Amino acid sequence: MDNEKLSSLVDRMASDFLFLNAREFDIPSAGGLLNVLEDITATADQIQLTPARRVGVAMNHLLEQFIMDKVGDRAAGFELLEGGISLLQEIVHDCLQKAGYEDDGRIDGYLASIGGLTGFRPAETQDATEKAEGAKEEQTPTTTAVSLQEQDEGLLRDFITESFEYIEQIEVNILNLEQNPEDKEFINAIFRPFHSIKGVASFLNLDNIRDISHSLENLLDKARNDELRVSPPIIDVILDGADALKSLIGQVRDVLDGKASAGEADDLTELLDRIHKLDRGVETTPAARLVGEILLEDGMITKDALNAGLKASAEKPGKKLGETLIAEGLATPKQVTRALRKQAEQITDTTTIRVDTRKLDDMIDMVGELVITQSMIEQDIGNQLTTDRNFMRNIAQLFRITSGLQRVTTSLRMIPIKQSFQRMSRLIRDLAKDSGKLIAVELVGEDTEIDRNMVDEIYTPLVHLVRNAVDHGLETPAERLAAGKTEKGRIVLKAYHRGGNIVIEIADDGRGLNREKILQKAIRNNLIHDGEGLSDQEIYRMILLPGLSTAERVTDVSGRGVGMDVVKQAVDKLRGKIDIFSSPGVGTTFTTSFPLTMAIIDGMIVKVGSQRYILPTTAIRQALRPARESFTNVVGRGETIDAMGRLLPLVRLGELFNIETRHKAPWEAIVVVVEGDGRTKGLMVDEILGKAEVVIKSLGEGIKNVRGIAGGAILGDGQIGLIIDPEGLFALSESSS
Amino acid sequence: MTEDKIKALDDKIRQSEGREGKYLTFVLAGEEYGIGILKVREIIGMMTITTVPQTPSYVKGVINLRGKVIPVMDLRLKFNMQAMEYTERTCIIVVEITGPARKIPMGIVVDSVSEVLNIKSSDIEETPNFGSKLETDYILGMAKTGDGVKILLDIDKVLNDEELTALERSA
Amino acid sequence: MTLNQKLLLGSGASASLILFGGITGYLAAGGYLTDVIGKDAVMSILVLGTALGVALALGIGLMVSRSISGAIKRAVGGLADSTTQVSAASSQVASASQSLAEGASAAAAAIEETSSSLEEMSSTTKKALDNSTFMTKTGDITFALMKSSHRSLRETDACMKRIGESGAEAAKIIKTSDEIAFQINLLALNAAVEAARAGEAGAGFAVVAEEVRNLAMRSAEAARNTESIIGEMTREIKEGMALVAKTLEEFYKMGDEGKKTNALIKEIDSVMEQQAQGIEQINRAIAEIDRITQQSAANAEETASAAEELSAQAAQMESLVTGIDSIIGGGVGGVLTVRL
Repeated sequence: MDNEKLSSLVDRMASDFLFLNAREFDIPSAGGLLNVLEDITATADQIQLTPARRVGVAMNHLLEQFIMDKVGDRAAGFELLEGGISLLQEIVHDCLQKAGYEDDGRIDGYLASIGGLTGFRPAETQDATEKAEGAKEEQTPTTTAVSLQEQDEGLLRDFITESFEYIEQIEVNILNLEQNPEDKEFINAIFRPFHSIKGVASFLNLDNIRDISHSLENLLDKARNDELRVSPPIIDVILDGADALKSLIGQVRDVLDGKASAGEADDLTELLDRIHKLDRGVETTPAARLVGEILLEDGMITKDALNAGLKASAEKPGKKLGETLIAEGLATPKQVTRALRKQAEQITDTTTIRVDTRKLDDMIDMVGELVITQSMIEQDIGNQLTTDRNFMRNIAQLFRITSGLQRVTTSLRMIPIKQSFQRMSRLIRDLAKDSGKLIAVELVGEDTEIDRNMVDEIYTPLVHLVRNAVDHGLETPAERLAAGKTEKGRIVLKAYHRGGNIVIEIADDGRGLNREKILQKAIRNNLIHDGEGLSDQEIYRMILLPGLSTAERVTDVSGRGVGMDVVKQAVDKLRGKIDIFSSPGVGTTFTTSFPLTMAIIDGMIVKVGSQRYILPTTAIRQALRPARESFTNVVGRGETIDAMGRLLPLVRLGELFNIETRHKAPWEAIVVVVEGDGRTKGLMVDEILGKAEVVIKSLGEGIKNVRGIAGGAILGDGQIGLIIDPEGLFALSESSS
Repeated sequence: MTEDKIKALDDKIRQSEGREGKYLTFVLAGEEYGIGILKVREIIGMMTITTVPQTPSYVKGVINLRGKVIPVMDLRLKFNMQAMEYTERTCIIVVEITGPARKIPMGIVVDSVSEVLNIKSSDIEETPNFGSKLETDYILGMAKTGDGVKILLDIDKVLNDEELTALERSA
Repeated sequence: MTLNQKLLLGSGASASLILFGGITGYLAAGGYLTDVIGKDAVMSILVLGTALGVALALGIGLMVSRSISGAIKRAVGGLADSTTQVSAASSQVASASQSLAEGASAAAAAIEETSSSLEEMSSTTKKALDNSTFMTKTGDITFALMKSSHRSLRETDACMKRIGESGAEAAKIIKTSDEIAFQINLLALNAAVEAARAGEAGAGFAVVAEEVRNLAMRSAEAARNTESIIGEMTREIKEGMALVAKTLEEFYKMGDEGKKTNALIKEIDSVMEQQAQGIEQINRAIAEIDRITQQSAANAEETASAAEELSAQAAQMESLVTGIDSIIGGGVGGVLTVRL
């Protein structure tokens, strides 16, 4: 395996060398050879192929001499290089074929001839293994200083200036790369300066600089070859690396200027470790996280427990962390297997690709247009009475494909809710620690999918509910024991699909809601007069009303006076629903239900004058043509309509939006009873055109946030209809009247 | 190293000649205007515009551009010129103005589009004081071409800044 | 048996006896004697035979005429009377006939004159009739021509309309092609925009886009020119159609007048024809009259001449009668003389 790698490296060097000649042998090409040679030496070291390593080290020296222009007889030196390469080829070939190279003294001869040319002492190479091993840690200021004195000052000065420029380039491009992790251009733009720094640092014997840039260069090379995905840790480590290089080069400059006696060097081990870890980690298990990390993230174990496990695992080599954790009783076998499964899933994640959401949106838009065009074609065909069977068959096929395509594109945005659940379970753990409660978290249905954009939207209300459950729902261990329950409370996060919605349940096995307390508080806050005829459900729902927090004390977790009404508002905004089930002493379950996507809205298309608007179906209570008697115009207060047994304020949509309407009298028009923001109003429109599921689109950055308008939707005829935002509309009607 | 220096120098030259380049010219109330071609995404014929309430009069509404909803402004109204009935020569130029985060596509209604012109920096003159006709902030310069003077617009300035914020305020 | 018959018988029998004798003698002598005695001898026989015959005949005749002359004497006297009467009458007739012939002659001359006048009139009338017939014919032809030119006018009108429609159609097509040119122009501008965005790589494409745009502009220009030409044409067609309509209207008026004129001409023509027929009849009557008059004159003439002849014959008869009377011996001469 490594023999082959070595062989291919030698071959590469040989083929690189073929294109060179003695006269044109300049620094860049020497640098290139030097890079390969380094790899060869390192590999030879690894597989303990001493002959190859010895030749490699000698050639390395020769090349360095070339670069520093210290080779008197360039032609002879060039010949020596050639000899060295063929010697290497021979050694490697013999190793592959004959399982061993028989040293017949040619290596010594070769080394001697290099020594003859450059004063190279082969004795130095004897302890090269140790030196290479220790090279990374051994960087002491003294070596820097010593080596600096040996360098040509002019060369160094140039290097410093150049390097700073390179680092600047790196910094600029790394920010770009962070925005576009897939962009090879940016990776290259960072790779090249590192490479250049490494090359020069290498022959200037600035080993620590070389090591860092070399490691980073390798990392980037892998990213460039798609062996590694550019992830935030990688970005971080590159930035840190650039910083380290800057300070190292700064030190070199200071030494040159005689400013500082090259004092303490930064500890680069940690950085190099990180780089190598990233580098290696990817090589073995691409993008996979460690079992311990997964467990920690999922809130299965604490950091302390993990550390203990890691320690234990280190003591008993050959035993895996998971096994150790189970053996030590730090985690259950179930948790470990789950974590292992997740790890496996992550590895299979390599079959996914990351796509810019804008591209995705474009595609969804296009498919939307395709569907519209399809329905237009459908109409045309209906009008034409075509009987060409072949044509009809193909068209039917096209329609099937189109609707399939539409299904697929809508599902493209869908991701499992897993991530949110994990974040919440971590949160619960942290909260539990803070509040001194013992809580087990159970996640059910983490694979339930939801629109990518919804994930962030629902997070806030869910977090609020979770906090509420931890803070108010669950009792302290002492209380639990007193109540005859297990010491450890339980919170279940459950997700499933139901009727085009995603339902997320947050259940605790705590004390349950206090019906009486809610009732009292509601009466105290003048929300109701008495609890007569109210069902438990209705009373529980009252906690969602503003200014009703049942917590006795205000904690930093929840109950900061804003209460559950915030949750209700957020859920409403997402066109979701919230239900509360509770029984005293047994626990409380909050069942929230959200549309799978914010991108699609179920709406009623209404017409006002020549304009069409879409009213969200969730906001519509009723549509009616009012009787003449039900309309009253209270002078100075506005118009009302008697509907659903109540006097509702009448909002003339046409008047509000300054549109010439067809009907002036409410009893000729249609009144849609719309609910929003806890208020109900009658919206007067000319006619109702029908129901439609439409894709919500923003009106563009130029005119977002139009009051009363939630966005636009492309209707069946390709025209845009504006989607009414009932709350905004109500606010608008109140401010204008 | 030298390459970078040359590049920096190039940049400087380019900056000083930043206005030089290709412009899409169009007619507005008998006057020729130009927009830097890189600001233009495409030109489309007039199409149905859905009016958006609660917006300034020059915001004509939104259009459906291949599934994307794009706001459309009437440049005549924006410049306080006499409104004109749209004809079959009336066009919407979809421009990309530089927003705070990303480029914002926006349609502008013009009387008619003319051509793509290559304008040399030597042909561009500083904006003379116009009086009240057009805010000179909007204008990159005046280009003398074979057939008259073209007013080069800084479309970002025309549609951006306080206008956008004003839009949001009015919204 | 009358006297004359007796006379005749007598003379005839005597003559024939003589002749018979002569001939017999001749023949007998001639043939037979020639053979027997010679020629000279025969001749002398013959002359002696004849002379004997004649002398015998005369003798017989004289005895017969002495027997019938009395009767003749009485007849001649009567004859002389009537001859005298005839002569007188015939003289009367002759004179009457003469005057008659003279009158007829004069009438014939007058008729001749009338007839020639009539002839002249008839020919004038005929000429007038010819003209009026010609006029009627011409009127008919005019009418037919008017009809056909009306048809032509109508066709022209329809044709103009069709041209107008084609013009409108062409205008539509031109509009479409102008529209297409506009769209191409937009496309080309969009291509130019894309090319500009592509930077250096788009430079070549920009040139193509510019070319396409130029073509679009030219096509639009051409469309506009054609449009203006078609507009002009349409306008002119409209004008032409208006003119045709006006002409038609006037034509209808003219047709009405023409019809009236034609009717009048026909009427005149028929009147003329009747007139011509009348004249013809008169002509024929006059000719008849003329003929009759001529005949009368000729008859009168003939009568006169016959009367004269008669009178001449009467005179001759008188003289004959006188002659006879004298032959027979008087008595009647006086009468004859008186008569003559």
